[in-house]
Amino acid sequence: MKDKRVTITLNGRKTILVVEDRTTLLNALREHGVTSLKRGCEEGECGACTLIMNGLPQKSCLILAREAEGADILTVEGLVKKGRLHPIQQAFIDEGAIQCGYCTPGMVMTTYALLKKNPYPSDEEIREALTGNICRCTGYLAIIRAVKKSAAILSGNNGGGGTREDY
Amino acid sequence: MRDFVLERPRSISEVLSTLQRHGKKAIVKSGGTDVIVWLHKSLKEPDYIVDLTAVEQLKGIIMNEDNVEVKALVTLSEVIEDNSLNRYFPALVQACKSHSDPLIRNRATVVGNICSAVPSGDMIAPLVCYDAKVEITGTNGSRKVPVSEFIIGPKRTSLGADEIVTGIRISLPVVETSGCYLKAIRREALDIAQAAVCCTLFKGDNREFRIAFCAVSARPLRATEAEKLLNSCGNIDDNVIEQAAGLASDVVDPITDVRASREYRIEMIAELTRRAISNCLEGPVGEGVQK
Repeated sequence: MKDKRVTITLNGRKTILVVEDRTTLLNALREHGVTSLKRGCEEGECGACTLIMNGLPQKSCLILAREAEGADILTVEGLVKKGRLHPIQQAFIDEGAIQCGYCTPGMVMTTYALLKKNPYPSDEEIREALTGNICRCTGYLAIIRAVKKSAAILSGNNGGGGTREDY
Repeated sequence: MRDFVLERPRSISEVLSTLQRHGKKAIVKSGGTDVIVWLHKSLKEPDYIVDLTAVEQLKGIIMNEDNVEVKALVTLSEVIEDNSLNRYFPALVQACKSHSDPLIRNRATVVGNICSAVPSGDMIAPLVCYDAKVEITGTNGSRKVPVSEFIIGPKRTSLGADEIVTGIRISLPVVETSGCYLKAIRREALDIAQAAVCCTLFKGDNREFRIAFCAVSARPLRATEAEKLLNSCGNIDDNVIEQAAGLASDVVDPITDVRASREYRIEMIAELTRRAISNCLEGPVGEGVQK
């Protein structure tokens, strides 16, 4: 029975989810309208449901909604500011790192967490960070280019675009 | 997923009273990266899940004078990022890095890995080599057992229905050490070991090798004969390493399954043991505690 209330901060806003004990965070958030989270494998393999919970990128199919009580949760919906795409989102578009788009929100959130922690990742570090996110279309090279481009823009090496602090 | 009641106790004593109420109808979960998959696949259908993630007492890596406690909710990512564990227990850190992917490592716990007790669990061999003690608390008090006695078979542990593992404790080495965890896998992430070898070398006057395996035995297993040979040889040359690798592959008893055949696993144990011994002799060097 859906009778449990879970209070979270979702993309900066206090949000109450009403769930069953068995509801995963993935399903609770999708039912709440957060459809950037994709229900891919539901066993932690694909990474299409990746979100950032309390600063750490995680797979939301492996978390029960009630475990998120009090948590600060960020999804792709929270990256868009005043209708403007986040530089990571824009870089994925510019580099052709999207085909079917199913893995993209997860890739973007993993990238966001990586660049927060490590603003200047090496190719090796980018590949390592993305190992939990599977893409069956683009072949990863475009995705890695998009992450490098995002890193350059966010660290201000983009010839006068926004700076890290803007995001 | 079949419905269940989720219990979220806030303290160890609440966990124990909850377990006493529900007995064998309950499953304990920490990170949940195994348990939630079992529930999805209906491999387990418990009436109650006792979730430990709200128990503050079960969080943290605590360095004491001569040992370290890795509490039940410590994730693999926390181990990887901990400077002390990197210094003293490099093989454990390597095993953590080899496990699943960075996203899962943000939830999966070291203690959960040994409680799942699957023979391919990456934490088992390094914890056997470092002689970690599993700290167990139940309604009738607390006890400590070595990892090798804690796991009694595939997916079976000596944990009672009214007990939980509160953490593991490992003595800090008093001499310089080196160690490594080498794993045969089909792809570099999100794969389960076909076979793996952990080798640690405690240097100093009484040089001691320890070698343990992953995914090639029903219970935790050490290569005692190979260790004896290495510990008794003054000069470890290629010949000795070859003999030790042979002794190591003699003691393993793997199964054939979807990931690899028994024969392949035995071959890989010989090869990985060879490489692991060489790696330990050449470093990377972990530190001992200055006494």
